[in-house]
Amino acid sequence: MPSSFESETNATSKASHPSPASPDGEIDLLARLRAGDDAAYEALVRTYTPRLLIVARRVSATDADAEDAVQDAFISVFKSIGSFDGRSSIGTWLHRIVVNRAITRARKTQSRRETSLDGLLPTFKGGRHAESPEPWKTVTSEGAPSVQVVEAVHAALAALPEEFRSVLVLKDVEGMQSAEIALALGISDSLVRQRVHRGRQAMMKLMTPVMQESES
Amino acid sequence: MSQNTPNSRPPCPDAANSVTCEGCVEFLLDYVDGVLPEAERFKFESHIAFCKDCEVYLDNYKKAAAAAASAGKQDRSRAAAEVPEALIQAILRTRKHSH
Repeated sequence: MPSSFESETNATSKASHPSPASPDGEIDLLARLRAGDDAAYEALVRTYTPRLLIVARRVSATDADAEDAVQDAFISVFKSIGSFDGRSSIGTWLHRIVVNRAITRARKTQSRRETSLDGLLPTFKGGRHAESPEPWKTVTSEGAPSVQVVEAVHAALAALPEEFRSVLVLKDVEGMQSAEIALALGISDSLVRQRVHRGRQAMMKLMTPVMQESES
Repeated sequence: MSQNTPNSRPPCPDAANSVTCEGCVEFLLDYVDGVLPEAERFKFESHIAFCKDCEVYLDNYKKAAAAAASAGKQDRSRAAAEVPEALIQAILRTRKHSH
């Protein structure tokens, strides 16, 4: 599971006990949850909801759907905590459930205005780029991104079909590995990588007007 | 994009190589992730060294991923402040009702 999920969740924990995201904290938290400790349940919810809500919002059609997905995930965990095998962390478990719940809801509602990838992928003539790509001026690898760049990322992701948006959110925004995404979504690693590649190319096309205009 | 039309464009400077621009683009994710096998990586890097279009496309491809990662970091830094307390309370109530 993504190390960024665990480490950054750790930083936001307000629990008085060891952080749920540390190994000792995880064992301590799990024991308290199984014992029905109300404070442990509150610590769990307050610690993990922020990150889970971000992921759910990126995948869901609406904020309400995202909140429902997070709530569904916690209900599932509350019911199953006694049988949780502990092979992954609680955070990883929650993360996986939220992603699946959010995707299921997004597929049902299909209320997002989605763009087909047709016209967003590069075209070639005789094996060569049909048009020369223009360099992006914005430097994005270091420092805080500009508001324009962040908005361009979110707008591009929102416009992609769900199956591409989901894998890009998990890989590029959440920093998960392809194998982890494949496990979470129940699809093959090669399909994950194919969708990441196509989705990223489409995202490039959608972001290009902003990225060419921004100053580095 | 440039004003060149496909028919007026000169051939890729790396036309003699076994990798076309179209084939090169298919290697991008594996190359960026560092999992492209050595033989393909050699062909890819040889092509990039000659082909400005693919060099630019690779750079933009990396920047797109970096922009998404930066946006994600920014989202997470603001996350705690943006969680509705009503949602926290609703989740905690469902736990009490589930027992």
